[in-house]
Amino acid sequence: MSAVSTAMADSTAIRSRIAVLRILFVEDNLGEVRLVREMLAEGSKQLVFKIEQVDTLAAGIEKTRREKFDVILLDLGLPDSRGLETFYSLHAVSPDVPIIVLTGLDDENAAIEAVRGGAQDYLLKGRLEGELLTRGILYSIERKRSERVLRIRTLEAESAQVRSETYFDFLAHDIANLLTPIMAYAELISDDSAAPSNTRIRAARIVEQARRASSFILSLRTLEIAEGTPLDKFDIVDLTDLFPLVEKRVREDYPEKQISVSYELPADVALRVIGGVHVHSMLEGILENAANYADSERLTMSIRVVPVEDAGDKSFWRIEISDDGPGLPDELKAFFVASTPNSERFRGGMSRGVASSLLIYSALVGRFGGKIWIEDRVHGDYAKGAKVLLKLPRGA
Amino acid sequence: MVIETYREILRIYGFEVVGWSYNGEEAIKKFANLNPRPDVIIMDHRLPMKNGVETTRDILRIDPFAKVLFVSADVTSRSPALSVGAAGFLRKPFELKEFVAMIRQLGEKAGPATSG
Repeated sequence: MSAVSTAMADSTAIRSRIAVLRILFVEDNLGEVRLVREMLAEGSKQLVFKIEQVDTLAAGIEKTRREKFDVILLDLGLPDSRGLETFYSLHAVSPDVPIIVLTGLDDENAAIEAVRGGAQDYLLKGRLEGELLTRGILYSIERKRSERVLRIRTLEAESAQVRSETYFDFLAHDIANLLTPIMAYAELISDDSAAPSNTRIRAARIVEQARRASSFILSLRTLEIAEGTPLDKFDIVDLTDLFPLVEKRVREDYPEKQISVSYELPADVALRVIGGVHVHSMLEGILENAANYADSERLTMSIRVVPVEDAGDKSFWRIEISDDGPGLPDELKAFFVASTPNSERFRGGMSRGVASSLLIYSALVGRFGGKIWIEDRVHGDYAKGAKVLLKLPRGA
Repeated sequence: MVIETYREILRIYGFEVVGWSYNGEEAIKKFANLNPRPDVIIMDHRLPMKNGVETTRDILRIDPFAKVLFVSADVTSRSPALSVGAAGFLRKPFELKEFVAMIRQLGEKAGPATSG
């Protein structure tokens, strides 16, 4: 094999040096064998073909087990095996050696099947000639080599993927674990009526920051899990069930704020969407964001749901969540139109620390075919509040 | 560290910690020998020897009425934990109020002669 690799890797080597290629010819018709020997003898000045012939599949298997060949020429009709089985049996024992199937006109379909199953090529007997055969042999060796390189690269990429998933899982899990006592002790201090009020306020800030770190880790982990989930495995939820839960949650989390939410929903229809628990946490996140950034004590929100038909005949529900908070200038809005975690914009947003939870939602919602973006509540005047729009595919 | 934190918090909130263990195998043995049985068991997932889901399953084989509160930073453990019979799941890090409320709730289910 080494002689071939050198020759194949560098075409000047082929010209300047003589390469010896070892060929195993599994063929019981001695006339055919003689013909091929003659063709290959005149094939090329730089190449010497060293042909070994056996006339049964069993002998071929035995031979490939003991010796190394650069290529195998295989007749499908042998005394001890016929058709595709001949190829599969030999391919199974020497998967790394390129096999060229030689076949008669009557068996061309089997030969095509063999190529689908991993044979490098098939050549019709009776149509053979020296140059065609030589080129077929050389190409089959080169193709096999590329296949192997590709296979190795794919395996390397897969293992790098597994490694980074493992690191990420480890990181997410252990940081969440480490945050547990930090959050618990800080909460104890902030709830301790005997502690000085300054100390309690500072402790409450620790709790708040730990909670944010925790929810950030959870969002990323959720996104990572969603990326690996097939589309038909996402649960379906009814928005009319979610809205009261989400509203209750945000009121509980921001007891100091007066939050009023009004709804405009289509009547007499189930608002079922794909995304299950992800939709729940996204809605929760959007409302919590609004409450968090609202600078006055009062926050007025409105939630509107409208049907959307896509050109591609897919149906969606569009959810519009408006608030009268401080709003978002256009240059910030642009970041949320992002898309996939691979996009420049996503990474750009991340590196600028732009409301990372919304960025994560935008990638998440893209995973099940939806979209998230931000507009002004009052068109053209961002300071009057933001409107978050979610387009979600309808669930059956 | 986490176990010490739990013990301190539980004590502050008036619960009695009757036993603890750093791995799943040992937890099962300790549970089997406890008399009376605890009202609530707090279970982590990523444990040496035997993970939390397997440990929960084995504890429920010993006592089908045991109340296991599964508390883990591993979000993917939620559904297997509940499906082997854990009575509740809480993600780490948690808020104390929620943690304490869940223990109280499970303790009440365990019977009137109990709770912290």
